[in-house]
Amino acid sequence: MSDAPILVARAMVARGGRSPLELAVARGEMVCIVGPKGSGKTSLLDALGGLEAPHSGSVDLAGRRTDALDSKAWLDLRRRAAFVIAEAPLLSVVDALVNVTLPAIYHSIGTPTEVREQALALLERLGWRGDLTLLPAFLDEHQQRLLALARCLILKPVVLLIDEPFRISDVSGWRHFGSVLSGVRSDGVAVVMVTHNLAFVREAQARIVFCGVEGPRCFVDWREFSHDPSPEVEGFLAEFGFHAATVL
Amino acid sequence: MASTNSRFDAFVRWTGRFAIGVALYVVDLTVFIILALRSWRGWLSLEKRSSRLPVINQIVFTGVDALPVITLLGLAVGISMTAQLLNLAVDFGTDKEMVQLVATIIGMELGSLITAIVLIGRSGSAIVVDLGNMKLRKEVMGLELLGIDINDLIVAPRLIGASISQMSLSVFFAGIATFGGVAVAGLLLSSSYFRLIPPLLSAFTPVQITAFLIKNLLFGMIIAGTACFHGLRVGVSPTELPQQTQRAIVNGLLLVFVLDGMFALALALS
Repeated sequence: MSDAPILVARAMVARGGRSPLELAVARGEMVCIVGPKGSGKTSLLDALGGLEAPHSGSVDLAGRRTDALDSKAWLDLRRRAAFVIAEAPLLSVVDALVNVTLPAIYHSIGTPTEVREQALALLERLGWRGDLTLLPAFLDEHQQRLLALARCLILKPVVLLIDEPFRISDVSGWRHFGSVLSGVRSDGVAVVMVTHNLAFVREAQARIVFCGVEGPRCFVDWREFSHDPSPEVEGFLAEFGFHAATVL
Repeated sequence: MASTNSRFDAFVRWTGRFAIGVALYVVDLTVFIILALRSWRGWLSLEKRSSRLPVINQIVFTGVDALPVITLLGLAVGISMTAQLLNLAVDFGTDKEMVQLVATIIGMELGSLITAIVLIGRSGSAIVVDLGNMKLRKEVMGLELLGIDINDLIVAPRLIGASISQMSLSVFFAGIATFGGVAVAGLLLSSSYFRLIPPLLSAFTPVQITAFLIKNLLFGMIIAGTACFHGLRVGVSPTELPQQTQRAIVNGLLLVFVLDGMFALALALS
């Protein structure tokens, strides 16, 4: 596995952002973007994921500069750089299994039988428990999110960008989804996510990008983040019940 | 006098704006259809399941599922129009003229238009609602984020499926409405009308048949094209869905009738 960064932001300012971000993410790394509501976390993720051109600076994603892509190159990039938006939308007119197999069949990754076997193996590894013949509308949100993740992973991306993966999960739900994301990271996929779940961020030992009023700031881990003396970070941690005495 | 002039100026300005708006809409729609067809990977290989299946599904939905209603309408038009037309024309027309009348009016014109109207109401509206809901639920974005070309997977199969369906159903409708109508006239009015069936078989010239097929392929493109175009224009609000559905139906009808008129004129002048 190459140690070369799979995602590089150079002096990148996202739409509505204030100060530039320097970030390099290698395969198997996890980066959590946190911050108060309205601080521009999703805009930052969109810019890092190539969904929006940065206001200034540049982003290299899976070896391609994101602001220099035509529509075909952008679609090609999406196979290597998976992106799950907060709503995690599935195709409502086809069943759960077809939702997972469709992208692989579309991209001719294998015969329908091979793709089906791959999808079943992947879903088992993700801990899927449910009826694969049901339409998405009949599945709970945790199952829908697992399917949204599975249909990205079946394309074998090198980087996964995911917005609010724990948005609707209860404790057991987010713990399960968190372990799934950690497993994805162990497989060598770089994971970049926006989350409000600081318990996960702490447990995952991820790098942290904090979006504050001055713009995004990078921290190497939870320890550095939780010991940051700035009132903004302290206030943010306190809002989620993390105080100086308990952050470790 | 000044008031009349200013009202006239306003009318001219409105007419100009309307004409430019219509022209731009037609250009937009044409470019949309061409780009979607260019993106279809089925041109390269129909063996690809992901290219073939959506087209077959669309043909089943637009074509096969519409067969009962097209059959009933064809019979109804045969009884109400073909039989009446023959009954009226028999007093002052020759057999050849009567056959020409039925072939041109019922077979060539009415068949295409009634089929198009049924498909606009049935499939066009369904496509707008389907795509509009996909846009609202961000399913379209979800597919694009998987590297799937929407034009290839969603738009082109609908265009191709609707065109094949429109063409096949029009041929079917024309057959039922003309031959069925003559048969009904022969059964109910006078058995002498049966004599018109053999000349009716040879009444359609190769030019007419070619123009008929091309016209109906284009009708299918217009029906599915306007539907996809407006369906994908739905943004974030559910209130946009009925608005875009209404626009797709009205614009589809207008374009189909205008194109039909252009074809009729071209054939008459040729």
